[in-house]
Amino acid sequence: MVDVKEHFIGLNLVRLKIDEFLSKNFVRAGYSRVELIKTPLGTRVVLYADRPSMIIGRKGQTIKQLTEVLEKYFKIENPQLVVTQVENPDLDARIVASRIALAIEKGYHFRRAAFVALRRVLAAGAQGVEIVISGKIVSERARYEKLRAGKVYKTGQHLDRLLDRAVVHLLLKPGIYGIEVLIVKPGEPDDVVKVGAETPAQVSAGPQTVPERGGSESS
Amino acid sequence: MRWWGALLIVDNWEERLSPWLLSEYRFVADLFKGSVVFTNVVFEEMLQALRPLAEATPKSVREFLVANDIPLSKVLVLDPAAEEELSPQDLGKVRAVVIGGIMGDHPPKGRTRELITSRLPGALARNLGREQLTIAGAAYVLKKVSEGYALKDLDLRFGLTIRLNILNADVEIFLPYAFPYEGGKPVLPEEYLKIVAMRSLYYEGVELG
Repeated sequence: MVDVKEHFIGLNLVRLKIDEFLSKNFVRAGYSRVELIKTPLGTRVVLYADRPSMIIGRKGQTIKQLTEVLEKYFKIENPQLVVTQVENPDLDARIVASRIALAIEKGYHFRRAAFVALRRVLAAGAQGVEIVISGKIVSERARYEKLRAGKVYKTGQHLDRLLDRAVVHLLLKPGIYGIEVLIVKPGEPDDVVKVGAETPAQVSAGPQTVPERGGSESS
Repeated sequence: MRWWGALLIVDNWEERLSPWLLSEYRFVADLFKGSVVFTNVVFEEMLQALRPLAEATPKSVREFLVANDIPLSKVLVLDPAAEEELSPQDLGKVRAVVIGGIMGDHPPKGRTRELITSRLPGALARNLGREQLTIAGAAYVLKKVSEGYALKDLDLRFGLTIRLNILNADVEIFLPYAFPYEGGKPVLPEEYLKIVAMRSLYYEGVELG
């Protein structure tokens, strides 16, 4: 009998390996994420990217090679690749992180690149954004710099809905750089408390007394 | 015990004298006035900038020791990778103490051992605790140990955070090194925080408007 846990862990591991492979090879294409959907004919592989044309390649050359790689090395059954443009690339943490990495690689000052990204993310409607860049960013001495604007939630169940996080590594001459981006997408967090207007009945009843917590009540 | 007149050799491995590095070198030169030598300063511009602070030479630390008749057995290297901790008893018997003028990797790669300790066979090697210190921090701790303090009596804390607000964004700069504290405040060279954060103001204020 197939171990259910093992089966699903195996499926996710394959997805993770493919994701890692694509994120390493398609940084310039602004690769975002991959979805694997099992169909009766095979496996539908949906790739989300900022510039799909770079994944498709000239006359579909790159996508053909990619299909072969998925079939041969990742053992995906009859993969059918679809490349889709990300709806709002400025709200996608991985795309933003790879844009910063490419800007640093081109020689832009790291903080300038980060600030430009920060403004774009906020302009796209994000509630908050945090960008952490670490490594030998200014001189021969390592440090990390964190830029934060807006609300950045770090705990709570709403993180599943609202938070997008990505880490991109970049190897340059002084050493390795780490770029972490956290984007809080538009949406209502769980901790919002709404205070309604008082009804006429409540107003006429006057202020209500609230018993003190832990205090003994007299009968 | 006070500083007993031994030489403090700062073995430079940087190619460029950034304001950050210069502030640390200046701090070391002021702390050990008259006893500091910067070795391995191969670039003429750096030599010109360091000579007003202390003696500076393009010779390597080994060449300098030979030229000054200091045997390696009378040399102590402050190396974070050394096995033993520095104690006040280690200091009186040596004629020179070497600090690595190497800006740090995080996590440390052990370059002091690779570039300095391994080239000075027979020299004593001692560490200043588990965490990596800055050059100025190491010099300050050395001074304190020479005054008779044990390392465990000194307040060394890992990490220093500088908080700024630039164009409505909170900027946090974290330095992953240990810093000596005195009276609850870190012991730093003059205007250190300003120098470390300097580029932010320049780039964001001038270039982005």
